[in-house]
Amino acid sequence: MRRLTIAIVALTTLLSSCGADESGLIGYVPSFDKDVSNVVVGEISDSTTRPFAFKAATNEVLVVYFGYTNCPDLCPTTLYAVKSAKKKIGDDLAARVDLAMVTVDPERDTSEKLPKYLASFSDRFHAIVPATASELRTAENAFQVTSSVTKKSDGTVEVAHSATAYVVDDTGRVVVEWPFGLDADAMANDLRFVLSDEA
Amino acid sequence: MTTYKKITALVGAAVLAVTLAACGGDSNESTDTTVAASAATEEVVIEGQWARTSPAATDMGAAYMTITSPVDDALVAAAVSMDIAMEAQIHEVVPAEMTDTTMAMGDMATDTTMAMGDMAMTMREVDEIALPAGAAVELKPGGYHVMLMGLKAPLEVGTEIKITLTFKNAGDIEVTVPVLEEAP
Repeated sequence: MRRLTIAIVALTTLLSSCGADESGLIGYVPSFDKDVSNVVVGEISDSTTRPFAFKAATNEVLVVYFGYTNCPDLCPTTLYAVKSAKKKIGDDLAARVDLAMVTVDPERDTSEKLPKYLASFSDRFHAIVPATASELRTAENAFQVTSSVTKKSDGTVEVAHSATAYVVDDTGRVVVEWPFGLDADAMANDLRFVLSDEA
Repeated sequence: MTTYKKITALVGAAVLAVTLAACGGDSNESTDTTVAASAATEEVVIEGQWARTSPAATDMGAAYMTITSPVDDALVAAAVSMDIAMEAQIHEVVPAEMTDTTMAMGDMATDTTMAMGDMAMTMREVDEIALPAGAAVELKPGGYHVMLMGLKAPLEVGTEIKITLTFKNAGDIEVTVPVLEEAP
């Protein structure tokens, strides 16, 4: 069953890669105008919260990820791949890549914790700790992310979340989505493509 | 590592022999028996093991490897010493079963708009990982992993940790696991 799932994911990735030949992007290109610029959330900055909109600065891209810091497998896999992709594209291009992570587990990921976590992956980042459940849901709906936090009877907390990373351009549109497992070379390809398009 | 390589070669040969026998179609039974018997004297092979460096502000970690057992076996437990982490568990990443009550998006998205990549994933502890004879079973990001819970200190690139793996048949095997930022 697991093999089947992996095969389907691999096939999906393969198909979207094939489809993306014309655009030059390896990740998945949204089939509609995915504008996320209107969503405003709270960003942690010097231990206070200020409004943040999902939109890259001019001629830059913003990589957005929804996850949580107690995530040992999926989150660091993707975030270290993004870090590695930035190394691959060189300092000049990498300087134009920003990173935002929205915690789907705001109860445990405090405003102190998330910025420290993100500093392991990027010298520039936006640590987003939603103040309310509806703030989180609004952001998730814009990206089509799904998440849940379930407290189990044995005291453990089970967190589920979409493991896709989203690349947002300077108009606030998702230009490419990176499904879990896409490697740093593919991400580097897409970053080069999007950044050369913007410049 | 040298012994691992030798064993790999032997297991590889055994796998090849089995494969060839299978391809032959009408292979006689005695050939299969011979392969099984010689394989039984070999050891479990653990290759490509690594642990991910742990980001700041978290005390969770994960380790990965490829395990090949010469006979049907199962990985049933993993352990690290208390100076590394409080606990080690065998985990698997699975698609989350989002019920109505846990569903985050409420009125969202029918199947047509829910892309494959947007499916929520979660982890669960597994009782064991089956190791069919001769099959290379991967513990890798997005699949099975040894989860290290309650790290005593961050896992730093360039260091190594020891993990004791317990197998149903093969017993305990200790592996030295390098800490890396990405898969080797």
